[in-house]
Amino acid sequence: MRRLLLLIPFLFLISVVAFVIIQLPPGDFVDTYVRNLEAQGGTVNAAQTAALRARYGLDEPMWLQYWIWMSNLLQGDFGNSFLFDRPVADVLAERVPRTVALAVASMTVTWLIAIPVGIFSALRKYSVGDHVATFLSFVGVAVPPFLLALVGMYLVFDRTGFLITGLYSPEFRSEPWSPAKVGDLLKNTWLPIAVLAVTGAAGTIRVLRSSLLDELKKLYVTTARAKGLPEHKVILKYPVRIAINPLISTIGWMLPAMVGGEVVVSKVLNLPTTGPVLLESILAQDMYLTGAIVLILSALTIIGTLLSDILLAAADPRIRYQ
Amino acid sequence: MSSKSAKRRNRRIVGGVVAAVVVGGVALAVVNRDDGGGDAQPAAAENITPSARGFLEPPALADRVSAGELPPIDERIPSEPFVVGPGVLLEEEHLDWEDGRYGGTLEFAAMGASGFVNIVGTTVLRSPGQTTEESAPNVVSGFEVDDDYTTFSFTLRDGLRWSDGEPVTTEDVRFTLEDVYGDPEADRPAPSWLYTAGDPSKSLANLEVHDELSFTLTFDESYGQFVADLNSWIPSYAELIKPAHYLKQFHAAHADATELAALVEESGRGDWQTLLDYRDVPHWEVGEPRALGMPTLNAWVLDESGENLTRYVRNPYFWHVDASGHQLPYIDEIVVNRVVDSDALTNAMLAGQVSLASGGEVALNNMPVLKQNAERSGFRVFTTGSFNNPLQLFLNRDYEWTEAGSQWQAVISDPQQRFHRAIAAAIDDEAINDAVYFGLYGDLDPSWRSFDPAQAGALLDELGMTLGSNGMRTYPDGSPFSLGITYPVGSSDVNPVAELLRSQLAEVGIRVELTSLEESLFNQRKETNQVMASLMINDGPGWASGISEDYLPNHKGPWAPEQWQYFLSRGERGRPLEPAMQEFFELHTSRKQVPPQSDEGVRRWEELVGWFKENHAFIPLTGAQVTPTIADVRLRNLPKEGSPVNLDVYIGSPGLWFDQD
Repeated sequence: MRRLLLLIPFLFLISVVAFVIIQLPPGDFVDTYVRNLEAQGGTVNAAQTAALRARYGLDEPMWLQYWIWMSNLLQGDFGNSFLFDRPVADVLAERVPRTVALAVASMTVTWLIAIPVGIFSALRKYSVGDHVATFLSFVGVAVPPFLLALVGMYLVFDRTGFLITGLYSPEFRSEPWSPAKVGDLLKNTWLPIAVLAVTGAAGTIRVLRSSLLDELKKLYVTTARAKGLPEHKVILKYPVRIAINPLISTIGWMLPAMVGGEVVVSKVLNLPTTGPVLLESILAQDMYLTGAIVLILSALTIIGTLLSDILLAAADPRIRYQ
Repeated sequence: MSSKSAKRRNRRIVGGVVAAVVVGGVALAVVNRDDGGGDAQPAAAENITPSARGFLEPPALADRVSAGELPPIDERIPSEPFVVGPGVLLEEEHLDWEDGRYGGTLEFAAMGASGFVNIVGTTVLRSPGQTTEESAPNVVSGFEVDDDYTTFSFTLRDGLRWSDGEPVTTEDVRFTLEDVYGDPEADRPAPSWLYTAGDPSKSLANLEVHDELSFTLTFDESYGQFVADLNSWIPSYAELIKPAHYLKQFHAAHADATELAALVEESGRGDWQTLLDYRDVPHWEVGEPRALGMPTLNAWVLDESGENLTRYVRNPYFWHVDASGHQLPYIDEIVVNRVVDSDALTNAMLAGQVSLASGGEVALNNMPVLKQNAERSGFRVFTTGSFNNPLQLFLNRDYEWTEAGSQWQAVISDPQQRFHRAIAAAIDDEAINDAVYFGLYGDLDPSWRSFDPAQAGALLDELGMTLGSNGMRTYPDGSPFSLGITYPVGSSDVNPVAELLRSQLAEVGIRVELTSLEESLFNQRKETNQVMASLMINDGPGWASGISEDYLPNHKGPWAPEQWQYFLSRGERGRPLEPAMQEFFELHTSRKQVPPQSDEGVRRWEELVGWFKENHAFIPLTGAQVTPTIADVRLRNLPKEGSPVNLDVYIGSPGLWFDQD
């Protein structure tokens, strides 16, 4: 409970820092807007710029802009995104669930791959299988995900003529939901999920392998064996349970890491998730949208950390609340 | 899309993605070969009975007409429609016009909602291509200008209607000028081109309405450039004629106070001024969700705008027809698929998901890969000239102007322009053309070309920039010199060109430091005058006819940004004008008095070009651009290979049609 209460000032602090950082570079959204118009060939005169600035409230001092933002936020209003000219909440309502879904899906696949392989690697240390797994996971750690995405996209296009891009193929984009559309979604999303999972799994295999190796040497394992427990029980019930602690404790970081690592993959694979919007909004100095995304990401991290602490305590009875 | 359905959809996506995990592995097996390209319906035998006035009802609208939802075609077309044919939308030598057939969907991919549709030429006057000389009445049916270019008279087309069927009248013009720009309450300053000589410090156009269809605009001084603006897709019709019947509901002087308050409340926009501004969508943003429901005079009307795609459908009241009685556009629908960046756009092209792409969307460097995939994906590639100059080098005359003893200022403001001349003489345009553009770009006009490294060295020696011990030149006072060239990342050719430029300048002993910046960061540096030199493209080919004027000192690469500030603020801010710049602004201002393509206009333009050459406002790095366009093989009425301007592909799109045979 105390930790929950501590969250509030912490989030407040984050919001101040986020807001200040967004405002640091010279210029504001109106400059970006004017530049874009000029790039298209239009011109904007001084009176028009002044009117725009007043309309967006950008002629107010920074503390006042923050105060307006914050007081609206507390009433559940994230403000309007300058960039999209729509409520920030609407933009986020489209993107955040999609991003979380992508993160959760690829995390699940990560674990589905990493845990069995990690256990196998540790149990059959220095066997051929272990060497193969070790080699592959080093490759997985070393290859940047966007490259993997590009190669995957190229191979599929070259072999089948199907371009994996976006969440749906163009012909399904404005269709109502149907089994065919779900199939199309799968056809387009398996690659990003696989790419994120493979790169995630590589590191996880290494972590699991080394922590499990430490545990296997311990006396309680010998004791369990001596007691005559079946081998799968010896392994899964005790050492594995301890060895996966590092995985559980990093759940909290996983969400933001996914969102961050996903930016480039999403760019490559043309996915409408949070990452590319965050990048775009920062570049356009769309402070309300950027602020909201940073705030939400921070909140997710904090909540994730809290969650992993709770899970950790549940999974490992040695860990107690203070 | 309502937020409720968005939520529902998102929940399903969560489900879908989780399911994807399970079947992900087998999904590859399901992947099948999709047919790329537009899904145009064959309209091979057009079997349409002409109406009493001789028009052909588009099949896509026939159902709505017979159901009584739309009046028949004769009632939708003005008594005197604009007739397209050979030489109307584009000069005859660049386009073999054929009257087309109805049907089909144009598919595009774009990073924004609007795609290119925002430049489809709905202008007050119309000249073929990017010229402004002919000035045939377009939205209007009559146009006259007096001899001293102060009084411009217009007659609107009788029977011209907005896309919702309401007639277009002088009330729309009056509302725009008086109730939007002229009403201080509305807080919407007018765009610059509606001020005398395009100068916001002078008086706004004075409107006189004669009757429902005719009006005059008068200016205090000669303003011949206005003719070019009326022809240009850059201001478009929408800054002069706004749909009053639609916008009045958002304007306090016209709307019922309670209803307006409710609209403001519902939109969450604070006040009616903001709401009016939001609902009066500029033509650059015709594809934004807020443009749904806004009447237009364009060939296509926005029908759907979501985060994945934008869809436009034909405007039943469009006022262009061809000689055989078709109402333009021939193509029923435009779909713009959203992509996150230019690479995704190129991918979509390669996969045949795009019917047409041109302009900055297709880079010449991508030619090999485009050609490779053309047959498989059903498109062809042709090249045209460009609306843009190739990359130019800009040297900033105002860099460090406030710093006493700045060595840069010492060399850049040499009265004989020796530094500029030396740099120009060090650049081997042909080598750049061959290395980066396959030698396809044009030859540099001899009057601009001065490649002569020995001459460059001599000029720099004369200037006191002698070679130091390390083989590189120093400033005249002996301090180390390097030319900082900053440029925004963008098209894929900019980095190789910058590297070549660096090695060519090194040949004459000039050290170059290249800095490539993300565009918004580049703009910030530009605003704060921190850019010494830069590499950028500009709209050169559009300058002579007056369509664009981005040769101005701070529009693309900054070459005299602080003196531009001085000019704009009438001496309040910025750097006092150098004599040469004084001359530049005089030439620039006097050019605006006459139409750019009149005899006098051409003469004044040549004078200005002479000034550019003499003063090296920008230093060209190659001859004219050549850019690829990719187009579905079935599309007709496209400009010919080698025609002058890539943008005409888009601007003339109401005339495109699919040939199914």
